[in-house]
Amino acid sequence: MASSTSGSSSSSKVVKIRSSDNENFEVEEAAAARSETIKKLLEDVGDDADVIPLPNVDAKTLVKVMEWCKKHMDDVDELNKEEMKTWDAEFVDMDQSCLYNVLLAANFLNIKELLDQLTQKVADMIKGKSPEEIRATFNIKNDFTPEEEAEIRKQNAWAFE
Amino acid sequence: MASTKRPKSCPNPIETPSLSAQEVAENDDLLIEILVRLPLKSLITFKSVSIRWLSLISDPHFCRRRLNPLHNRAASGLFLSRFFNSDEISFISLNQNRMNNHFRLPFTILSSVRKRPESIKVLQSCNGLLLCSGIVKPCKGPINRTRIRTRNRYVYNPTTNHYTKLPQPSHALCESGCSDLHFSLAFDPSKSNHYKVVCVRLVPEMEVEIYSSETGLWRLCKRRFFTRRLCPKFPISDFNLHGGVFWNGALHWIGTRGYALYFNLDEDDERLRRLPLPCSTPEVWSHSVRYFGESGGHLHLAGINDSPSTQLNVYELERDYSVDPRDGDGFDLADLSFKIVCVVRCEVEEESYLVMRITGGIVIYGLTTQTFKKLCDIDDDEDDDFVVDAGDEIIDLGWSRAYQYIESLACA
Repeated sequence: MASSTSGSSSSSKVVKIRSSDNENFEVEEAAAARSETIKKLLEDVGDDADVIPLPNVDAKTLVKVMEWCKKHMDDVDELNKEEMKTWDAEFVDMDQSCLYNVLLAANFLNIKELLDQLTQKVADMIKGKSPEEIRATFNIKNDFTPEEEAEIRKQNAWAFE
Repeated sequence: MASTKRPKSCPNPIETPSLSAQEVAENDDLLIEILVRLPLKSLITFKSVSIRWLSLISDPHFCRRRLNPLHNRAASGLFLSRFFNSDEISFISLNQNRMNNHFRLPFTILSSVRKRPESIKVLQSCNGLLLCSGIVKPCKGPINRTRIRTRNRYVYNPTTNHYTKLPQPSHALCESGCSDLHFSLAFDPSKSNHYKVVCVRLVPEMEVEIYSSETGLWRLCKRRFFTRRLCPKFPISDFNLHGGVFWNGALHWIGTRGYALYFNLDEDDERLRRLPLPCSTPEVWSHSVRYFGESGGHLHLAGINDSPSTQLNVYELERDYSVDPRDGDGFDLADLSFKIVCVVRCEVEEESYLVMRITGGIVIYGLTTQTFKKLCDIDDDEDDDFVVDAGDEIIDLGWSRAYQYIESLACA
């Protein structure tokens, strides 16, 4: 792989996006285009675009997402890979409600790499939890009968005692 | 409280569930993306969260989805059938961080669900599934009219504790009390959610019947295979046709004289072929193959090479069954009395190791570190399968009482 462009982005064109709570942001197109959703909208409207509305993402979350997009705007060369990894790890280390909001936004905006990082983060957070803790975290109702639940636990208990 | 870390020792008080967390978990696509990244242990635990979680985690497509190249397919434990005449199957963990105790095993499910207890024997382990055979114990008491014992075969996933009882193959009609049917399991979760079971009967040509979990049916191969033509010098009885080694789309049965037979399961090319085991000459190998098995998608062959000095060589075979000559740097273990239990190929090749039965127990031998670590003790007197230095006449195919445990969510 050629480790060429690590300098400034070729295009410094700026696009405007609007959050669900009606805040406008100006973002470099290359950053915004990390989102497949925005990229597609930009292609559809061409240069006539005034502001791209993002009705599912509030301003606070959008700031976070765009922070990630900016950082990931350029190709990363080998030397910066480690640094980027550290940055990413710090990025996803945010408080929980924020994390889930960003995850939903990444899903809506269709940013595959960010989505991967966030789902991995959630997986890491929940992996040691008990079923009760999972239900509490995600507000899930236990719809098993006590007998069913006991049976499932019994069936699956052996290797992990 | 942005990005401050809670001390680990302090478990979270019950968190107020955030709406966004709930929204994430209610989205099937997002939830699956999270679940596929979880270790198996969590998934098994999370089956009891709710009916929806149970059904997502149990879905065959989910199992498949979870299997990516990063997923480790190396064994994490061994089932030891130490005493073939009893139901006792014990388990030892290969996980080096875990205390090694014998676990209460799930096999009771197999033997207790049936109306009459069965004595369960493991025939083969293949990528997370076990092929087992159960013999229904004849009723005790005076009315023991029939001596016929029913044999059942099961495909069993010990991780999820699910099993399927296979229907009897048509071959079984001819099956006498003493079985002359040989069963092997073929399962490659990276290719398909379904598995096949091959039943071989010698009449004396080889007749093959194949069960597919997709159809739930046995199918008789139209052709019979003339093993005599394949290996004129070696009688088929030289080959151990039980529980073959499944690798590269084919089942392999190793013979005692430096040859293996392999049966390709590709439906357009169902054929039996002979495979000369690689390395110099069959003669050299015939007295020295010490192991033939699969791990982590690789086929391994280990043997003792007597010249110039006595050394153990471990080879990883290529897809065309060739051997990289750079492989097989010898290990000077020859002074040791040992049988190879299995080769465990780790994702990081350098971490791969041998599991060996030595006098008094089972040890791990790191192929890179060349150091030993004890796994468990075994009373040699109770193990007639471990006869050290059986002489060099018969090929010594390792210690046959262990079956790899590979964590899997696959549907049995």
